[in-house]
Amino acid sequence: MTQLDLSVEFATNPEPRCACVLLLDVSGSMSGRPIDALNEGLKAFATDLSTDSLARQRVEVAIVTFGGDGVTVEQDFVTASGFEPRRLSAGGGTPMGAAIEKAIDMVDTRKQAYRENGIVYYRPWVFLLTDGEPTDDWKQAAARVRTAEEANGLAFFAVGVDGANIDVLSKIATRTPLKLDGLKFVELFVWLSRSQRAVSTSKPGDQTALPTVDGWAVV
Amino acid sequence: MGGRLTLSSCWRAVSASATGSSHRARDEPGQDAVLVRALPDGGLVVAVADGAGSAPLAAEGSALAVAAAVASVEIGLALPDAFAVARDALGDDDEARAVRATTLLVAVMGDGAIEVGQVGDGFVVVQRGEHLDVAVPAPEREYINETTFLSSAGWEDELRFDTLDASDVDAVALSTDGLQLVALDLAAGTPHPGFFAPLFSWAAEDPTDAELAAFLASERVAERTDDDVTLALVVRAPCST
Repeated sequence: MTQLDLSVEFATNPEPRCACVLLLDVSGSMSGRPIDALNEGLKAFATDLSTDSLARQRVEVAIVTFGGDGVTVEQDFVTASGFEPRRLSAGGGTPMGAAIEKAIDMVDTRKQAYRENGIVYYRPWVFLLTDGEPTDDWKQAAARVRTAEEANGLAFFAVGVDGANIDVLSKIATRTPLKLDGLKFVELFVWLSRSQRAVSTSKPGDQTALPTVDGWAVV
Repeated sequence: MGGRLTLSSCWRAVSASATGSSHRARDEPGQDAVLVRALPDGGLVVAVADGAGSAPLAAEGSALAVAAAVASVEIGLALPDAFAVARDALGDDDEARAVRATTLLVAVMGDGAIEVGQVGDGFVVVQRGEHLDVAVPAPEREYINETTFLSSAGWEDELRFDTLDASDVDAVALSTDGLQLVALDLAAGTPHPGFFAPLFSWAAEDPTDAELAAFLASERVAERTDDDVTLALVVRAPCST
């Protein structure tokens, strides 16, 4: 140990945070194998994030579901190290518009909390996963996604499971929606984890290279 | 990377860089640069730069920027002109400059005044007695992984200068953003006294180049950041007559 190692103290800043809202369709059509595969995917997401020493302290996961019980915050923001996904069940309609607005509200509130506590952060992600189409009014939600994307306030990704109305998704998301290959939820969520790991350690000027989606998306 | 001890008649600087684990893991070189030169009038010029991770020639960009800025100050150019020369040194057009994207921080330590200039993130800390300040506060930016570079289109809007009365300044530090989580109290936006006070005391005694380099490359620092880290410490030395 040198003199400097012994004498220099480090500031104890909170880790920078990287918020990620999962917006999950749990409507009736997801019943059976799709919801099982989604649950497996969430487990893989938690496991993969927990292997990364920085990401597990920086990535904050929240889960909003939409389905039979309307819009539900299944999981409020929790750092990846404490994220233990609960088993989701499927049923009911697809109030996607209200769910999107809830997710955007949660991101805004979270950023406010970061700022009030002097926590620096990365651009939050909202990640929508659906196998259907909205059964509520989604136009306002789409406008809010567009506004937030244009203001660089968040990054909104949409993935359609077999049966999803990709046309509507492409009107909501400013990025091109991707289509899930079969029920490759595990591959999808490992990709999402790897992406969040890349974002949560990115430096100024990085064009954060996201992993390829070949493993789970229909090209 | 090594450090360097530079003496001028009124100021003394020690500086070093260490390559972050995120670059070492990919067998990439560090992308920070630091350069210190004594000036004929007894002053000192110090420049640090942080090449952008996404820029293919980032290491070249940061090295070019500090070399051009320091050489400009040495031949007597004003600090804003030194920044313009450094930007030109990155390339002749936007494309050539973008592949060498870098930040740039320069301090010109004179007898009566200290001039500081900065574009992009990183920080300059000034010690007056027990008191520590960030010299040129960074512009408000929402996300930690965003900044404006010397090569960016809007660089002039982000270029900040300050001239400080040197008489009550005891020491100055320049750093790239790799150290921000350990060196600054980010909530308050202030230097962390426990970090800087021991470093400045050490620099005022009998600093060696290697010792600062070893500290920056230590496991303790690596545990807190995976980025390149660069630090230049400038303290008072007896003025020769």
